[in-house]
Amino acid sequence: MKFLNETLAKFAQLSMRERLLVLLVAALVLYFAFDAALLTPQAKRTKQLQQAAQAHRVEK
Amino acid sequence: MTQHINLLSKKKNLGAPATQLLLAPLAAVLLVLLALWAKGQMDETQALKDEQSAQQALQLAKDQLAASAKASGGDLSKEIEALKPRAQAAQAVTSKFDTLGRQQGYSDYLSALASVSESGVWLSKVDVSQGGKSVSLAGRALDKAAVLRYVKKLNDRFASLDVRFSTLDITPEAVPAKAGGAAGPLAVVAFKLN
Repeated sequence: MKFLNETLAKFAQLSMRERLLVLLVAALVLYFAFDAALLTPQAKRTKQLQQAAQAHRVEK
Repeated sequence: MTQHINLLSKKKNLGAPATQLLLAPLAAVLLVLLALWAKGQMDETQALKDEQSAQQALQLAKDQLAASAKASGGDLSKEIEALKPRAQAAQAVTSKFDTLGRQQGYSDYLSALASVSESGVWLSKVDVSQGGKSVSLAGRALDKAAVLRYVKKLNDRFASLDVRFSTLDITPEAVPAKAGGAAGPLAVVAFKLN
């Protein structure tokens, strides 16, 4: 909590241009971390399941 | 009384609005990502259901196939047993074809033989046996070297027919001259080629 308060206090001290840059970088980091941790593995699993279902249909 | 005023600090402390400015967009991004993840979860669940239903359908088809094969298996084995004597008889006949001859004849052997010639060599016997696997020739020549040249040509020509001449017997012969002829007996060699 102390870290968050300090971070917010530092953010409050920044100019508008700096704030926008920080926001942009934070959003990008958040997106890539989320994608690497959840979205890409999920898409891979879904694709594998779809291919397996298609293979079963072809074999049938 | 002295009052200190920091004139170097030009940045304003925005307080709560600054916090909102930082957290609100990040929260919006997080919400979008969570929505994407939730949609991905739904897609994955649907794909899992599809895969399971396809697997069940496949298993069902396999079971039906196995059941039908099992039902007709007895009939098939009986038919196979009934056909075995006929197949053995047919196999015995076809195995004799190899020793009796070739279905397509020996014209290719004869045309190959006719295409090879050597001066001073003539054939007196051609024998093709074992379905074309064995070819033997007999003839006469004016000298041994002509026979060797002839054998080399034959082997080159018959290589495409999978026939190779590997044994050569050469016997000198003396043909008596005609009565009244001035010359003496003619020296030739007789050869047999297998």
